[in-house]
Amino acid sequence: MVVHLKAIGDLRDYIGKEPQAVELREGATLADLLAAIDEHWGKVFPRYLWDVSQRQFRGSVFFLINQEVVKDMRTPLQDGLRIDLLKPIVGG
Amino acid sequence: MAAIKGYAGHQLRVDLNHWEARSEPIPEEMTRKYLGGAGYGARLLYDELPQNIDPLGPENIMLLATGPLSMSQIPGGGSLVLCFKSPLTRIWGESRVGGDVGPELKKAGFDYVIIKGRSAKPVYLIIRDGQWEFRDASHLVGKSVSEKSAMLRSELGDKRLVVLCIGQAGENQVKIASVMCDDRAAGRCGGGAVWGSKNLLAVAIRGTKKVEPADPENFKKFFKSTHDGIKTNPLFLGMQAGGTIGDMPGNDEGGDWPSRNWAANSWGKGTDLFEVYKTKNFIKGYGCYKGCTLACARWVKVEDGEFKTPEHGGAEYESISCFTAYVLNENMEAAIRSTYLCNEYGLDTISCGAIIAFAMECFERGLFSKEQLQGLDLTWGNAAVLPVMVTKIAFREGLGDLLAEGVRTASERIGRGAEEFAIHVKGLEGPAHDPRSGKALAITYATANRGMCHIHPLEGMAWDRGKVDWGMVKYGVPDPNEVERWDERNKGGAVATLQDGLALPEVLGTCKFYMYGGVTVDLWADMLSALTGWAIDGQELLKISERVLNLQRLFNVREGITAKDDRLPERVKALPAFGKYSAEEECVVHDLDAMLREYYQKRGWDPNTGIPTMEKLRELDLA
Repeated sequence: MVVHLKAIGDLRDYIGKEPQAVELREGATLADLLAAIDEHWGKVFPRYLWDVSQRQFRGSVFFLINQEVVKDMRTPLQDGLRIDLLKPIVGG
Repeated sequence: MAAIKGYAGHQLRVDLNHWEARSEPIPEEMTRKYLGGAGYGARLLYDELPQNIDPLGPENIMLLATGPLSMSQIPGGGSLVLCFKSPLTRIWGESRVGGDVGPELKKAGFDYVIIKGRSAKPVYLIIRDGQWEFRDASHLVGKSVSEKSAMLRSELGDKRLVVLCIGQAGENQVKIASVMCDDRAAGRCGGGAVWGSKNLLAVAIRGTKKVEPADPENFKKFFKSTHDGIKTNPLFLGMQAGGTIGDMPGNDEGGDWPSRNWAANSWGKGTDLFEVYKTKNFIKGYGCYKGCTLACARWVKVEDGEFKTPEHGGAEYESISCFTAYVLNENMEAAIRSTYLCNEYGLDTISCGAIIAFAMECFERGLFSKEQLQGLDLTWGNAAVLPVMVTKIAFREGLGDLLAEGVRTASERIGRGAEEFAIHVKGLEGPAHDPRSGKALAITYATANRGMCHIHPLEGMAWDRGKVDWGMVKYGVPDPNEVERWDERNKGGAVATLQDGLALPEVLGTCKFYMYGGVTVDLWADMLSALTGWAIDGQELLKISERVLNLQRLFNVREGITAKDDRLPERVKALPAFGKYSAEEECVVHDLDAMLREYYQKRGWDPNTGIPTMEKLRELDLA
């Protein structure tokens, strides 16, 4: 199946401005998407954003499905689903 | 007159000349039109402050203003705004402090405290449940913020006393002195110096009264549903997890980290510095007022070594950035120590870091004499000198006396080209966000009423770089996902509308970070309607905010501000001198004038003078 990963904000600098079609196995979960992110962009992300040894994001990066934060990596995905990836910018 | 539902209903007018005060009802019409906080402040100061008064003279007013939503059960309700003529900028002065002081003042029976005059000797004011008392504060002179607070709690026998006070910097009338509520700061614009000029050292508050909403059922329903709704908002979660400092590495990477006195917008050290903080200094997050669910404040320490620092609330993004990237300091612990001292002495961490950065550049260029330096080594990146400089500024010692005047005055006195790298707008030193990361910030820096401010009212780059919309798309603001951060076109109008929306926390008496977490103008309107019984919607709230910002602008116009002052220093717009973006022409702010033309048009201001037109003032019921 294919899901569409849309990076928001700074993450677009690394993943691209347009939604990216990511091919996954049937019955894939969010954990599978994370593994695919590692494969495609793990070497591109800066050190503060990506833990190379753990193959996961450092800090606060969120997956959103239908504008809701989804944290459970066992969450099943469907063909054609759009998933947003957001790293909130903080400062102030 | 019937009490206005949702307000304490009274203001305390304080005459420090005679140690007298009187309680009076808050004016209903003014309340409806300006709501509270910086809105009420704009009307009051415009009406009661003569033009061109000395900000450190007895005529200046120090207003402590809650907003109608300054209540601990309301999302973001821990807030108090101070309004005054700024001794640093000599124009509109406004600073906000979190903590319990706003809700406590309201529970003590007062929406506002209006302070005029000057006490002949050091004084502090106690406000308790509708009563007040002036007391001799001579024993508090020379004490730090934490010392004053502890002494007052002890002598008044109340550990829960809420104390607003100045430190030694305010007593010395340092132009960048802050007013503190424990670890929370009303940092900007030099309010602490105004207190010091009035010999007012502290205001101690305790309140147990309840403020009854007009519609208790709906009021409770709205604030509960808002709390529940924002708990899963990603920006809320991000802020909760990391605090304001949580994305310091991201800001460095994103070109939003002014470095070496604004020579560049990225340094490359953000990740390493953050790792040190996270592993060695961070203890836990906490909420700055009772009931805060965002809990973005950070409890930190430096365990040992040269910069040993006790546990305290600190390590905010702005503070640490101004003591690292601004001055090329790679020692996180020196930055934590220095910002802790700022809190203890009562100094604005942003202006203090900025002034030290300016001093380092002066040193580099050989603009200080040996007599001025007295052995100081102000080389870029010298960590050891940072806490030394903080102390010198707080106590006006040696070079600190000159720097205590702020970067604009210091540069004018130094001369020899120093004004070119004195980074300020209208006299207020710039904070740790860079318009070369998202150009909407260029407009907000140039036009904010208190000077070069990123947050009163608007963090422009949070929109075009960070893609935050604060629920404002329905009010005509372009979807930030359709906007490129380095575009300069078609942003002026959006910024004007966003300013109206984002000024509301200062008017309503709430914490702005809750708007990042999902609280919208419409939700504020719902809560306010249930609290007061007024049928008020988001559109009306925006109109009130527009009125407030225009009145603050009129205050500034009366003090001499025009379009010529809506400018950015050249360095802030220029190609970065080093770092990741040093070859990125797109990040240069090419045509601020064009951006401002769009802005003035949307604002309804004269395109040449930047003054609100009579037509606009009539529309806003200001003429």
